Amino acid sequence: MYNVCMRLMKREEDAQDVLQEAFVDAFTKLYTFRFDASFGSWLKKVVINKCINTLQKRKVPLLFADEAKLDRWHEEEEDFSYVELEVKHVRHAIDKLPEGCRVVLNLYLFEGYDHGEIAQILAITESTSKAQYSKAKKKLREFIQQQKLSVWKTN
Amino acid sequence: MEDQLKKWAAANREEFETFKAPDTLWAQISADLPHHQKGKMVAMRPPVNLRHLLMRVAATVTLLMVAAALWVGYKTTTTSQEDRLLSQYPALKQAERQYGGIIAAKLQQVTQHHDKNLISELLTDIDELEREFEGLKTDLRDGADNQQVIEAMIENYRLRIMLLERFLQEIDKKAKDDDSVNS
Repeated sequence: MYNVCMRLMKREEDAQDVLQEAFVDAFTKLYTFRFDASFGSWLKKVVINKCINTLQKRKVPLLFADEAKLDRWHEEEEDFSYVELEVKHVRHAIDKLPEGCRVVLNLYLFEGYDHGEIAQILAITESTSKAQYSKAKKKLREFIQQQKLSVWKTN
Repeated sequence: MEDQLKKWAAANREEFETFKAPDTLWAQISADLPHHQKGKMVAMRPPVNLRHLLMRVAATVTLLMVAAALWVGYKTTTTSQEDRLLSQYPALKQAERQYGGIIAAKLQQVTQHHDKNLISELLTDIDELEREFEGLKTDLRDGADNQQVIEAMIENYRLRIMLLERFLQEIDKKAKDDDSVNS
């Protein structure tokens, strides 16, 4: 759960605060657990919702652009090989993404949610979630290529 | 087309799980739980060594797990009792099927809202109704005037839905008002 918080909140202090609040909330509201899902996934949902709410409360809220504006991100994967990538570079690039698409990408890639579930969690449409994910991937590739270029220049 | 990034992330999943929460965090969480006020005690005690701290945390986690297991057992038993109870009263079973899903869906909608103070007020009301519902269920088991009890239970479902709907309407109205002020 701490890793979930770190991915979404980025800063250690924020991740610790959110995890603490989420766990206390979860255990004091244990009676709201309805057996619709496993306890683990329920707890994870509580933690993720707490992260999202905390991010939303910040001065710069999560912005999800209109679907129409995001249409241009609906493009298929281009020739890009992820095979050689190092985790630390990808992690660094993910942290640089705009908040909205960073959250979608994390939920999709690491937390195992599909776009329908992400749409529910973030109160957006499924196609917005897909478009945000495509946008995140494209930007991620750009950041990684920039990183490679700067490494190549310094060498 | 296969999502190459997803495939790569899955292959490297473990390397994305390297952050470790500080040991003190679990002690803080345990202290914050309302059923035992450990927070102050921890603060007043002299510093403890890591081994003792870990033992305390482990003990707390074990306690929580045992409590959770007992609760799961209790819930499972009461759930099967509830099933039996519901099967005796078709009107109640139908109401449960009809309204239970609506309540869950609306609660989900409500929790997406940002104003947590407002939500907590609403959830307190819902919680009170749920407790009342549990009381009625006991009356039903005790064989009180069952027709009246069933009607009260169905009314309770409706009340919860009404509260949730009213809340969502208010939020919707407020959002529209805000939009018209801003435009």
